[in-house]
Amino acid sequence: MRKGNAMSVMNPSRKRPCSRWVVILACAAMLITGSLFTVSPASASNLLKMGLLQEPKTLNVWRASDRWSRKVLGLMYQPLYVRDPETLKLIPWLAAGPPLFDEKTLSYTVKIRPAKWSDGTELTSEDVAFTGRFINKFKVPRYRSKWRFIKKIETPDKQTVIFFLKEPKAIFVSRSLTTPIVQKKEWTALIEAARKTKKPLKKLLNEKIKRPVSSGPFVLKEWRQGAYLYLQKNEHFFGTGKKIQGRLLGPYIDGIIFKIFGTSDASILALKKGSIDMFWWGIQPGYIEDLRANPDIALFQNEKSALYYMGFNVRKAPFNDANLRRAIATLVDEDFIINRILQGYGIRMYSIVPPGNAFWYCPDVPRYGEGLDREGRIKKAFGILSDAGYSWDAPPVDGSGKVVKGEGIKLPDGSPMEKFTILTPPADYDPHRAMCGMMMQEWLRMVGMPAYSKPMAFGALLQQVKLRHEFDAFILGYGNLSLDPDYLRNFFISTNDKRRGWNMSGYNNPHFDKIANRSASEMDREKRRKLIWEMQKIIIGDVPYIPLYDPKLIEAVRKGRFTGWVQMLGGVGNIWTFCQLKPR
Amino acid sequence: MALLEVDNLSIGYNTKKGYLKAVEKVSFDLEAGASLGFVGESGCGKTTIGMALMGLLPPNGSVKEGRILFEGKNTLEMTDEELRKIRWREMAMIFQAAMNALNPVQRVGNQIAEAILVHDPSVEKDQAMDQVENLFRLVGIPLDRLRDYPHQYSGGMKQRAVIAMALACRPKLIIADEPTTALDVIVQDQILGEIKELQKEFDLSIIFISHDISIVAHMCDHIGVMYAGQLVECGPREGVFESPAHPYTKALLSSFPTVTGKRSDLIPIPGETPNLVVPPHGCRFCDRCSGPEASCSTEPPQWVEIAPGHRALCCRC
Amino acid sequence: MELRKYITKRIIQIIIIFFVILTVLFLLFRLAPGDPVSMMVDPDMTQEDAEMLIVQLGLEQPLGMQYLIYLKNFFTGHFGFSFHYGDPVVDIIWDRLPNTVLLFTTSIILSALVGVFLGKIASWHKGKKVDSIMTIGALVTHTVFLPWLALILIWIFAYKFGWFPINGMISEEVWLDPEAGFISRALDVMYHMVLPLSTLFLIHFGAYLLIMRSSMLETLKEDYILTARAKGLEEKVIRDHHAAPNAALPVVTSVGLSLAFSINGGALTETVFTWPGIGRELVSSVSQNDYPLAQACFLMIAGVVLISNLVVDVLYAYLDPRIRY
Repeated sequence: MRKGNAMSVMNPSRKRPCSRWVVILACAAMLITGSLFTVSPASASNLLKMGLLQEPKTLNVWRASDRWSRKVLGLMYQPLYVRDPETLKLIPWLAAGPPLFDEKTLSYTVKIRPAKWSDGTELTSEDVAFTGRFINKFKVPRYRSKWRFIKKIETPDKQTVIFFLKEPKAIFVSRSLTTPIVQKKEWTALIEAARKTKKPLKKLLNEKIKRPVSSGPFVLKEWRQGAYLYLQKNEHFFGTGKKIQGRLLGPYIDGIIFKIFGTSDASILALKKGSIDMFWWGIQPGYIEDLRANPDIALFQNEKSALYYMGFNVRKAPFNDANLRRAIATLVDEDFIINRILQGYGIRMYSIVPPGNAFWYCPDVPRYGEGLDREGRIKKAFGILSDAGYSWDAPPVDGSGKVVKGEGIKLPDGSPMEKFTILTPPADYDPHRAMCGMMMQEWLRMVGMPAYSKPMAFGALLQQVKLRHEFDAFILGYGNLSLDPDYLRNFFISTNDKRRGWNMSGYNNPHFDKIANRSASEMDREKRRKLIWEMQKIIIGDVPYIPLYDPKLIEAVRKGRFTGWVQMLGGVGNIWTFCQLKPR
Repeated sequence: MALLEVDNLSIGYNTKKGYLKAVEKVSFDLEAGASLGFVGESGCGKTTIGMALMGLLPPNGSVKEGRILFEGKNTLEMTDEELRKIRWREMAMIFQAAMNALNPVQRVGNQIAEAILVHDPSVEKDQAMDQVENLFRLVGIPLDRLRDYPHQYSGGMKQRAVIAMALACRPKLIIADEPTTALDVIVQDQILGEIKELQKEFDLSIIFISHDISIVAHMCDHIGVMYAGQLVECGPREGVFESPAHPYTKALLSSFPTVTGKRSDLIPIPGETPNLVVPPHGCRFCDRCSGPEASCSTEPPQWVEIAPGHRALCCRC
Repeated sequence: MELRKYITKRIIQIIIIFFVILTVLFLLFRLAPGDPVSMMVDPDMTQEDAEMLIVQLGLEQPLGMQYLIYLKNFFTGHFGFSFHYGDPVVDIIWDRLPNTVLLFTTSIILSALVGVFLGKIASWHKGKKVDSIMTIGALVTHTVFLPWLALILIWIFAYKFGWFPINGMISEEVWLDPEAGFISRALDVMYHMVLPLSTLFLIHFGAYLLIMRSSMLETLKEDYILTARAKGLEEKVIRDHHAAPNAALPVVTSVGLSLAFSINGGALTETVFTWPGIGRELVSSVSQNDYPLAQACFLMIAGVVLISNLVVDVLYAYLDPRIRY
């Protein structure tokens, strides 16, 4: 018997070698390119390789709105005063000494150091005055509010600048004098060109600064967009060889190369592999164990000047009642949030000002529910609410004083509390805040409040809260609060309760407004501190915001090539580190 | 020696329902220059025979027994390569679905030239194209259509092209499987006439496969009637038509008043064709036969010689 | 002549579609929740600062006016200024587009060629081991979650073996070296392209393989294949010259169609590998509400998809004479 298959031509018996060849060739190509380019991770010159999560968007110091641009620009453009890494006090940087205040003329006199621009020309008082005038003249966003109260700027000589204020302003030193100084020569030319256009400010802000003339420890060498940004040591840096705050400044490294990674995963792999020396961004708790076990990696733990909080819409029921807010503040278990959600990498917040900002932080604010367990918290909150006239279908604490599941809470006027939502950023944007929202929901439901946690895209969340004021409660945060506590005023003064205003809660307290305005114009640091403390007490008493936590900043660097990292509030990526880092 | 000798050929297909015996114990001869027509209902195995002759059975088909001697050589014992070489050069085929027998993305002229080139490496491309031109003249396609694509042709032209292609290598045998089915009647007549002329001109042997007995009668000097995988009657045209022996042949012919008269489609015979996976033990036509005997359904029928060269597979003859 | 008419018709269609996209995009961004200014401010900035930003970004204008400006910017080929970069959007796009085109077209061509080639082989060995391995392999790589695949490739080949860079498009070692010529720079880009290209290739070739395989199997049943076989052609000739050109036609169409869908994968790949292309810019500009840039990125992608569809149609017409004539 014979099979027709044998004569059928559908199945050729010959093997085709082509497919095999393709595979072999592909493998060979991979190996060849791979071996050709196995570059030694530690290159010969001592360039610090720095991983960034995103690429800086611009080197125009007036335009920069993203933190990546500002991180890089901060190494080039320098202000008159910077923070001391230990005391956090403002100390002279480009300035030669502390500003001298003359109460009579309401003026500050600042002497500046002998310094040079990166193009070799002299940095004089003219440049400082020009910067201030420029901001006021063109109403540069972001800086204008820090300079609008300056009446005039005088330059009696090349090293002296006198600023005359229209009115006393507490923030003058911490905000105005920390503005980066730009070169008069460079920007005068740009202004000339901008004046010819219809919108000079727009033109100036959109100006592409290809070769920034700056005065910091580093200058731009090359920026290949999408790939890397190379800063070179500035030969004209005024601090080189000088001792400032007892620190002998370099820079001792030849330059910094910023590389972009897009994701934390890729950056951390690059760090482990040695392609970068530092990742300039906080490490999520999930990565920490792995990095800690790596002998080549050093981890730094620092406090941040940050505030994560729950805010209420106090414009409307039910959160227009401070008693309800206090009861909720009692129910929040901050220790649980820090230990469980943040896995211990966070600091308990009692006030709006982080405790790390020791001078302004008021330790003496009400501490709701401190030291209580869940039952204790519920009982205490029940007490606050009952006293304020709230009632329940089924109270969370029954007749015998036992804690049970509360149901059907009613407002003091007898109407049932309507469902309310707690808006949070989504878990992929910030898992911690989303998780906090869920916990808040559970804690509030235990006492019968119809709370619903709702994650929302970040942009949409801001729009609801800041623009439309259509919300009940939200959880947001500031990762980088300024050290000057003027934001307290900003967040809660009634004049800021408007579209896009900072008073998102709609808090309105004339007494607070008065103190806040006084704090803004109080020029005496000690007296101002008293006012700031008073403000914190009022706010925590009324709790339009419940401060939740201040996350710790964990940063990772490679040990091998450099030493001299300077730790300070906000992490090791500070100007002091870059001026003092030395090759091993 | 006959050009083609088929001896006791059985072919089957592996199907989901089982092994389907498509052709069973078929034997016939074909002399050079002669023409043989196979006629029968669809599914009777006539196309399978054509495919087996060409060595083009589908993968699930296999020859179970028998021999196919082409010029004395058994094609079933040839290797794929040997078989490939005699295909088209020695025997070509005009396919059933001529409409789709041409590759839509290649020019018609090239497709025909390809057949020439593959079998004679000494021919240059230009020479092959010249030959194709001749073939076009022969089958009556205008030469300016040489570089056209198949979809630009009418049905009749496609069929002519397929015929031209079959003639390309001057084969000794052409198997024409329902070559005119999809064409309208007038074109059909023209094409059949042309095939007949070409047969004479080139002294071709032709195996003509059709379900239309009148066409077979018109085209061939020998007739084979097939039913349910078996050849049930075969002989010279006159013998089969004038004194049909097998009841199935009679039933077929009863649909046609005259051999050359008005043509009509086969009138269906009552009853169904038997299942070929499990064929009946006796005569396969038994259930539909007008006058079966008792032994018909139990005993396999035997060949009976009606006249010299005319035989039938029926025990009643 | 016919072909020219056909192309003209398609171009007119494309222009109309493009304008619909243009308008829908504008509305989409304006109606979608999110506020570009809120994301730019920090607590140091006052209300006044924020208002100035709004004016500066042109967002204080009524919607109709913004649309007119948008149209004007489009027609002047300017696209406005990016909210965050401050650069003209058109500059940013032109800077990123070549990178995307390089990665994308290479990956599409490579995966289509290999997919077609392997699909052909798989169909030829239908039901055999080769076929099963290829089919399963294609299904697995095609359905795998792209960022995961990308990270796995990075982890194995860039981190564990260290054969390739973790991400990026060029390495500063080569580009900062003044002696590095064009060749070594080109090699550097190719070297960086291996992993992203492999990711896109692995994701896409499976689809082409499967389409080609089933298309081949269908084609092999066609009568003209039987004809070719009866003509005594060699198997290789039948497969490569008769079956494959017909079977490849659906693959060509699917390349065009899949292009639109693979943009998504392109953006993810570019983001994971920090490939400085349009896709990455798109992701970041959308998340930052950088309207002008995001709109231009979308328009550019829409344009690329439309044009490549046109190219596919023309190519199809070229490959299939039934359409051409």
